[in-house]
Amino acid sequence: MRFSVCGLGVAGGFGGSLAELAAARPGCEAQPPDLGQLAGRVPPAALRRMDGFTRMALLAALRCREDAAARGLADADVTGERVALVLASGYGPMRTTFDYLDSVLDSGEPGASPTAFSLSVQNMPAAILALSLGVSGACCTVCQLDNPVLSALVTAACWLAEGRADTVLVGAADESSPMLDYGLGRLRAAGQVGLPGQCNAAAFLGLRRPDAAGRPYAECLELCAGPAPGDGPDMVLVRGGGQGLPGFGAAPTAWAADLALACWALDGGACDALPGRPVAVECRCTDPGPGRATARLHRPGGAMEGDRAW
Amino acid sequence: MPLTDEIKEILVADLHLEHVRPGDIADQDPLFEEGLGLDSLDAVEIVVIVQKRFGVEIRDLDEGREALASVAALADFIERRRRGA
Amino acid sequence: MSRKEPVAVLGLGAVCAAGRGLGACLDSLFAARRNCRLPRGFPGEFASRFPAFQVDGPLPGDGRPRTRTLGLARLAAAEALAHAGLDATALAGRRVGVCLGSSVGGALNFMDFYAGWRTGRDPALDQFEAWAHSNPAAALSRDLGLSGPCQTVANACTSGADAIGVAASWVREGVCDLALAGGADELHYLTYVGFIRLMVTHDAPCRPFDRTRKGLNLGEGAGVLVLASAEAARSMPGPVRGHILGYGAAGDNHHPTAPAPDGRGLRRAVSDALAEAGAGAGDLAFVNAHGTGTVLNDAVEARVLHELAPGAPLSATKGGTGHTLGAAGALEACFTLACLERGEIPPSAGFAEPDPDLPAYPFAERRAVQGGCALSTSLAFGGLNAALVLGAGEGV
Repeated sequence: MRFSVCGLGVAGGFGGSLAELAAARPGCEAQPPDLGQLAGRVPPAALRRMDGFTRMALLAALRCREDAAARGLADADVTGERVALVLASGYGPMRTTFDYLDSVLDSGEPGASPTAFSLSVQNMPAAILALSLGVSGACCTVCQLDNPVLSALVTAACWLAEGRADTVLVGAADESSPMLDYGLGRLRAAGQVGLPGQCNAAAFLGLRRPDAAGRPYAECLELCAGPAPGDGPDMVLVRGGGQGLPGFGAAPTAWAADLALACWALDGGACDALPGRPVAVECRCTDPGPGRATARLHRPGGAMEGDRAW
Repeated sequence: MPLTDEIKEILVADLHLEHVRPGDIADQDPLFEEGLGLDSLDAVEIVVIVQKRFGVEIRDLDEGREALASVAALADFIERRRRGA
Repeated sequence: MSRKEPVAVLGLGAVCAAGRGLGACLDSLFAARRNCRLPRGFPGEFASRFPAFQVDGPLPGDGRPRTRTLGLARLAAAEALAHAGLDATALAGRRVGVCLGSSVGGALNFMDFYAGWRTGRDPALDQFEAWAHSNPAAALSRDLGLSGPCQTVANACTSGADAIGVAASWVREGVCDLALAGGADELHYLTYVGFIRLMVTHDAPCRPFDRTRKGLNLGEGAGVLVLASAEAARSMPGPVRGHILGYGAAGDNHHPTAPAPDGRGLRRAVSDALAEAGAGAGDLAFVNAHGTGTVLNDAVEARVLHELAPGAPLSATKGGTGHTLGAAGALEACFTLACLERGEIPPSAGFAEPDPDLPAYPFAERRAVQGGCALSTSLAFGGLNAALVLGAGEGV
């Protein structure tokens, strides 16, 4: 069950490019992303229905799509019925949910906002993204605290393998809130460990089957829950037990950033954690429970210039 | 401020019509489809706004259709309701 | 969409206002009983006007804070596993995935905790703790010590159907040998208020496809299926109860909350599901429609289903369960498989008089049906559409 990564797009407190994600400093995940670039790309009437979470995800998705096009995918490969969308999130459109709660608490039933309610329904960001991007294949929102990115990728890979879609835009997005900070802090104070953190960031990967045209970043040759069998590549990114690259902090969706950076580095992008343009990278998520995962990514086309594939 | 002007200000603010100025909305302009181009989600939001801001209830969407045809129609509806009609 | 291998269904579990357990639900549906009352335990004024379908009685727990949604999911999962003759030992050593749909289950609905925080107090932690540990798929995966992929699908009203479709893909592609697939949603006050404010609810028991329909009633419940690869099914103790033959999912690309009037997404979802099943519309014994009782939904469905499957009787079960949101697609998959086996569909409670503007309508009485497969459709906010073609099990 393999796939190629044909496009990447990010938006977050670290900036708007993979280079900026690679250079991200701890703490940047608390900063809001710069969404100014949406203004030229989306009509104002459409922006009206998009909360900050949706705008952030949309910006990353637009960048991913433009990147894929720049790397050889045709328009028809990134819009229409044969393109599916999977959006993974730990907390979903949190601020809109709280806006809705505010409307109920402040004004009671007569003042509860139906717009805030419907936009807080967790599939709405994905639906609005699909509408905005002109994508009308299968659309799935994954919402859980335990590595929603893994199952989003598994689902996307299955859809590609069975021909349900020719391209899957897989996104991961989370936003932060002082309210959630408070709640998670209370749980930690009560002795709970292994709780996720927060971020204000989104990443999109454009996936195609391994025979993809154009210039893919990387191929994923192994994707599984838990550790992968056998020996893996020497270059490893580990996330869990407090470890992990900054950019997305310790948010439930942080593994997406690792995968994006691995693809970036495999393609020759500068990344201190993955120096010297590796041939293959293993991305591990090691927290116990349903979030444990391994992905092994390789330069497209298998071993090159005599390097060991692994 | 005349009721029609008040309604226009409230609509622009509460529906987040960032690209519209209240003064640009004509009293008789259709609110839905053409004119301001609001949709069914805006319709139910306006029902809540009218209740919250003016204390007047629109009971169902049949009643709503007439009341929400334009700013003038809405002002008229609110005034009639306030008079107890 | 190309023809696909059927995925075996080994067990079914269901809980909703119509009953605890699939058998109890079916008894109620066939007797046209409607457990539709003003909701218990809700504040405010709406609860004196808008009825809903609530599950009676306590739900299983382990003493730790958990949401009602998780309690419902656990109940249905336990029944499905028992029906399949499987327990934790039988599952150990196998790759078992969990894919559950929920619209409320992952949502940040801890109203009292939030209200307390807003006013600067330190509220009791239970509600927040319950949310943090009640993600339906993750919790079931932990309960059973499973090691396959786990996913909570938050696709609003198509979640249950989509979760089954996704899990079927996982099994077919060899990601796991078995999967627990379905959906669960509790009747939450915040959701209840939201739907009423959207003016899509009826202040009386709903009337799917009826001339006088005015809107939906919310419900709660959970439906879970045990899916298996052909190979895994062969090594299992019990019979194959049914099959997932095909799944289609497509977006309308029309509007955030209103379905596309031409039903274009639904058309594609149904066509794709039939193509995967290698079935034609003429092979369908019946169609379990989404049939919420809203003016718009039932109109779109009646037109599209009449066009695509004119000979297939319509079955609308939400008159007996309410709209259970994320559970709906899964509950209805369970009902569809059970009705295929029985060879009959229940009366569509709430339906009495056809709408003269619509080309199709369900039946107010129970009805014998013939055929080896049936279609179940679901539509959601955001213009999502899902269709499942379900097939009979062994010996049918």
